[in-house]
Amino acid sequence: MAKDSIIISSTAQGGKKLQKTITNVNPEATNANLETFAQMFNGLSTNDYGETNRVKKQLTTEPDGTSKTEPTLTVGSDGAITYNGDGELFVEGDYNYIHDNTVGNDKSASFSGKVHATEGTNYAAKSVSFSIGG
Amino acid sequence: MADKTKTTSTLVMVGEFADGDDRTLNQDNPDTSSLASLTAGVCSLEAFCKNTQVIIGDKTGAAFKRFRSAKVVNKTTTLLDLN
Repeated sequence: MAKDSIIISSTAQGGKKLQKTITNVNPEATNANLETFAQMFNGLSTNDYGETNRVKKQLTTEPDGTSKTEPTLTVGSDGAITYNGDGELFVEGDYNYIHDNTVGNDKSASFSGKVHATEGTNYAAKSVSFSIGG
Repeated sequence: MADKTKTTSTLVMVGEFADGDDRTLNQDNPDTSSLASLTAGVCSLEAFCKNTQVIIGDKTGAAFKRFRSAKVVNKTTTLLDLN
């Protein structure tokens, strides 16, 4: 809970300037009530009341960092694999792949091993597994 | 040069809050010309704080309940003449 403070300025008998800080003041208190409180509080002393200043404390909430999306791997009915989320997607196994980034620019090759999955690539799997994050 | 003695005085009020927490408010130079008046002043302040909740607890912002105690603490400082 954000809390305010007040600073009560007064002058002691003999002329010395005094400042009294009272912390943890209700942020919902009205200025008028705080002024009255300060005067009553100072009234317990022999100090001459000067003025009261209110210090508002604001809590600034920093927005959370971008939340990580739980990665999902979806295989469509047409065999298309859709990967969404943070982290690396790997393909491992023996497979033929057709790299189809650009329409009309098909390339095919076979690969054995583990590689980063490339966006836009169709992996025609013989036996292949997908893993996230290596 | 003779030793110098200085007396300072502080009114120490211990406030009690709804979560069981205490808070101490200190007021320097209390008016001790009449302790009865000073006591009445503390009681008035207590009533005002209960009604308006201008001061809240340190830990959880709990509501003010009462002043459990109020005392005048006198401190005498004697500066020794070392000459």
